[in-house]
Amino acid sequence: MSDTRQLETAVADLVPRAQAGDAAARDELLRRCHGRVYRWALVHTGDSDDADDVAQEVLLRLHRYLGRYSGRSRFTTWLYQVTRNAALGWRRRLTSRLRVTRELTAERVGETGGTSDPMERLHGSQIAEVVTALFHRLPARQREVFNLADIEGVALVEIAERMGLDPGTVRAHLFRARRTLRARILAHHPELAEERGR
Amino acid sequence: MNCRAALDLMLETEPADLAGKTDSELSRHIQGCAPCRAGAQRILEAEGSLREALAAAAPRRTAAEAVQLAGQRQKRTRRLWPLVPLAAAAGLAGLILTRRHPIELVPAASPTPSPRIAVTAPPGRSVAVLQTDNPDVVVIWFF
Repeated sequence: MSDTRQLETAVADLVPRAQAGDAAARDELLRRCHGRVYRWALVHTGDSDDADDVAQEVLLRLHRYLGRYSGRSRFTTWLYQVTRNAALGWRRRLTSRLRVTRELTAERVGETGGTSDPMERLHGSQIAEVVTALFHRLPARQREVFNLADIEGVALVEIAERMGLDPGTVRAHLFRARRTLRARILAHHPELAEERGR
Repeated sequence: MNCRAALDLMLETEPADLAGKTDSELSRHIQGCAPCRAGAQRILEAEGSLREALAAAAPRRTAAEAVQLAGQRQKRTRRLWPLVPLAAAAGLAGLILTRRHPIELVPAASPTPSPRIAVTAPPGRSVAVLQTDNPDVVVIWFF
């Protein structure tokens, strides 16, 4: 059973009790959701401190707006959308801050040049670190779709519902994400490069 | 299927195909071609590592801390909300009283005394009635 499905099952009885005003159930619900929300936030932010802040924001919204959950969709779908909105808000604030910073540090960025491909530093046990770095370099939407589809095993139709996209668009993002990640992984196999010529 | 076509498909296909577990043409090629099998294996290992790394990621704050902080922020917000209408009413009153040049919406005519307006606040709320220099404008604020 996927992580999301486990959470869905675990909170099934907590949600109505928390909505009815049971403070203990509400706190338990927030505790159960915290790790999952943090990991979703991490996919969006790519930084553990920022993910902590986004997760905190989501818990606050959950605390405040749980009454608005009507039960029409799965609780995890609703929770994902709350997390996504919080992360998008975080990204807007970050973009605004970066714009200012970029103007101030434009010269320094020009001196340092572009970033190198992390796969070039790949060595055995570092693979998780490097692949994670590559994953976080994917465009935000591709990263989000890849995480839901290939990491969490969520069906494309449900991903489309969570993200408010057409399933065909979700599929296109997934294929692009896979292509980018896998091409970089394979780029470091010279024997495979030779085989391409056959 | 040759290796070039197989490698191109490997970049987009489902993990089950890469594992050689399906009956697809790609899957059959991977089963019979050692270099392509190695490539598919490498992709699966890398994605498996990513899955483990993301699953192992845990927030620095404990759940209890996060819940406590969320509760504290919620209480703080609740305490401040009742002050918002008061602050807004005070600000509006100040703005009206300190305004030196009121906007003339109609040509000046013989001034008529503005009638006093009696407003009763709903149960549990208060009301402020602000007469402005313009006899046609009266601000009624429930808070």
